[in-house]
Amino acid sequence: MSAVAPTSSHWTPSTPYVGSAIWLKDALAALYRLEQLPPDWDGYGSPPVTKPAISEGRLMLLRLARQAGVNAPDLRPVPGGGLQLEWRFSARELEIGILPDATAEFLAVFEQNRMVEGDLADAAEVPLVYLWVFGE
Amino acid sequence: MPVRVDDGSIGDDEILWRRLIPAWIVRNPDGTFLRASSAAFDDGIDGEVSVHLASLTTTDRVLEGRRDDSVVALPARFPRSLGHVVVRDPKPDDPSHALICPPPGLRGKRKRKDALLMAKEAALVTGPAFS
Repeated sequence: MSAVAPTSSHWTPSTPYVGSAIWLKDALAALYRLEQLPPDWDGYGSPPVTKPAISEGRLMLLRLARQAGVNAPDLRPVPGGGLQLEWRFSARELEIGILPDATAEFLAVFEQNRMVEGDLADAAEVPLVYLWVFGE
Repeated sequence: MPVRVDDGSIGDDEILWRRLIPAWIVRNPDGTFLRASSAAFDDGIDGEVSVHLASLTTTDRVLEGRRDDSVVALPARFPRSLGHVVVRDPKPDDPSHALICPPPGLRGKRKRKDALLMAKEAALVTGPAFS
């Protein structure tokens, strides 16, 4: 899939457009459900997922959906107000953790359980990390 | 966050139960249970993870009022092997409540790695995750 952002002024980087991955709608719905979690959603007293984390997650999904070859992530709430995107394929795994303050980290697992960790400065880096882990 | 000191009265063989909400279950492509997600062993605030000392409770009590949840288990020695400490944190309604606490200064990325290692070590004990 090749996607080029339209240049019309009403389009923004967060506007879905034709060419996005077919999983995007379901992923955004899953993110919305995380946004609706009440306090103590885990039964251990966790606060809800924070709005900054939800916003960052939404931005990441939109970025990922524009990248050809990216599969649907699993979205999971993290106690304390964060959330997590996960993918697994064969021996490889990728986790993107979004902390309550919207800062983000990744953990990649390769063959023989070799793990590589790092920070993500921007949502735009997420598709690159995905391709690095699963594109080889 | 207070500095936590490992509770030596909790033996290495003590089983720690962690309750899983459905969103923390990683499934195989055929829908069967694969393992817990690392999200179940992470915490975005202080890294402390609630567990239950199996010797002081039952799975029925852990799952009371949480019929969609499941329970996984790991021995206390495992988080300790990663440098975490295990402390008692009894609640009025749950004397079995305890905490897995990261070592001081452990943040971010290594915390995430440790959470994944604990998730992979944890064994499913009971609950709808089996179905």
